Amino acid sequence: MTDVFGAVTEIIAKHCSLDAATLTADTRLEDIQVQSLDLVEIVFEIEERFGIEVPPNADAESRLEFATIGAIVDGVERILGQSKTT
Amino acid sequence: MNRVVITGIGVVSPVGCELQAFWDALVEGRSGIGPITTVPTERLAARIAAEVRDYRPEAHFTARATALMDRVAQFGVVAARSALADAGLVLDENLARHTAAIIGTGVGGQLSQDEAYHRLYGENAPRLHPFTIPRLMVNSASSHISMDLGIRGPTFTIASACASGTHALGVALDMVRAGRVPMALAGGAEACLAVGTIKGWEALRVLSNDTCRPFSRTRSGLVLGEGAAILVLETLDAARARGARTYAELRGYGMTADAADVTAPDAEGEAAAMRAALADAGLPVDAIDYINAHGTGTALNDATETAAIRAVFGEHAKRLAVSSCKAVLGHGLGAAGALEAAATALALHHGILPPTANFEEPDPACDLDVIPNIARQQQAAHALSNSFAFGGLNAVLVFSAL
Repeated sequence: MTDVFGAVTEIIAKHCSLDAATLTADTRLEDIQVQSLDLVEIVFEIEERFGIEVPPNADAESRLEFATIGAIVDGVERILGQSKTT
Repeated sequence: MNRVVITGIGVVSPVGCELQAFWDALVEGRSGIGPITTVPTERLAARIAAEVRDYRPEAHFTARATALMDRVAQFGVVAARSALADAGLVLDENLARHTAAIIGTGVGGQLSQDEAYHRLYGENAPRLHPFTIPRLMVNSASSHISMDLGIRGPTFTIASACASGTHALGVALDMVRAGRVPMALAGGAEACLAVGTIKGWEALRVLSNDTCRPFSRTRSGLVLGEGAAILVLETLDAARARGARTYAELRGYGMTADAADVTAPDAEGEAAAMRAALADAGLPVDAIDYINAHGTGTALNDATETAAIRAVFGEHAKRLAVSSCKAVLGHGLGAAGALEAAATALALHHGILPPTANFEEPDPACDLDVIPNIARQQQAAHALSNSFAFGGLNAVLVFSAL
């Protein structure tokens, strides 16, 4: 089982120069000063790490919710689950 | 109309990033052309260029900043910072809000584009880095200069290939002269030494394999270069009021298009630009002592430029001193005209005319006094700087000693 939470917090912590141990599922991105350009870079790194495609924002039906770290982890796990079944 | 003067110059060049080192190399005719070291050369036929050597981004920027900046934007910002410091200026709130930043760039973030497309087509990468567009956009140098220095007046990029920097200085001159802005940072930046770009130039068969020898019978083509030069333009009144050192007056400009061939130069269009510049400056042909030539070192450019100069200056052409700095600086495309404007202003300031370096033997098709190899102690009163771009776009600046 891939440690999605561990990998996502590691990417965000590195990007924001924070200690990964301080990040939880409830951490809100706006509270750790993640701006829009930071977010696209984080999504890029997540895609590279997991070999997945995060749907573009324009696709409102399937877009990931990026408000919290937990929401990102859920979204990544959902995409990973889909790719396993297809 | 305001008189406009140059009070600060910043350079990032193949012969140094300090103004004194830049000027010393031009006067000594010490060429910055050498083997290409910044990109792989195994697929290149032309393996020489005038690179900005020993450039270390970390000496100027944080890692976070360079992630968003192609080499061209970094060159622009470093030159702009130097220019402002050289002018002895700190931008207060009022000046920051109104100052213009008008920068010429021929091709933009070529290294970022080359790397991105290599990933996409060469390595079949499924995605590109999200900073790809901000890094490659042609206005990146102008935008980063604005953000770095807090400049919030008219800020944009002019792209006219090899005349971009000259066009930018002409437009900036107009804005300061008309009182539209109190001050402008203007010039050019280029970092075009990417494998894809060099291969494209190779295909045009205008690149030299050995070195750049403008106006010499043995000339073998142009050598690509890179770098940036930014000039601080202020009104003469403002410069005097603050007791600023002035390099020269930027007195006028001329701009024309050939409306002819896309790559071949056209003596008529070039001559028209020189005549327009003289008319704008209000000077007769015999007032000009020196021309900093476009002088690329290709067979066609140098002969055509000679014909254009002869057409404009007639008998006075015999008394003109003409030199090309491209033997030293290479051809920095959008930066070239700005680097050469810096050289022309310094020539008037120091009373020394830089030579045409690498000169071997005269060519009857380039029968001008080209100041071969040895600089000349001569205080020119008025000088031109020529830039003639692919696409048939011509721009000429007029400088006067103060």
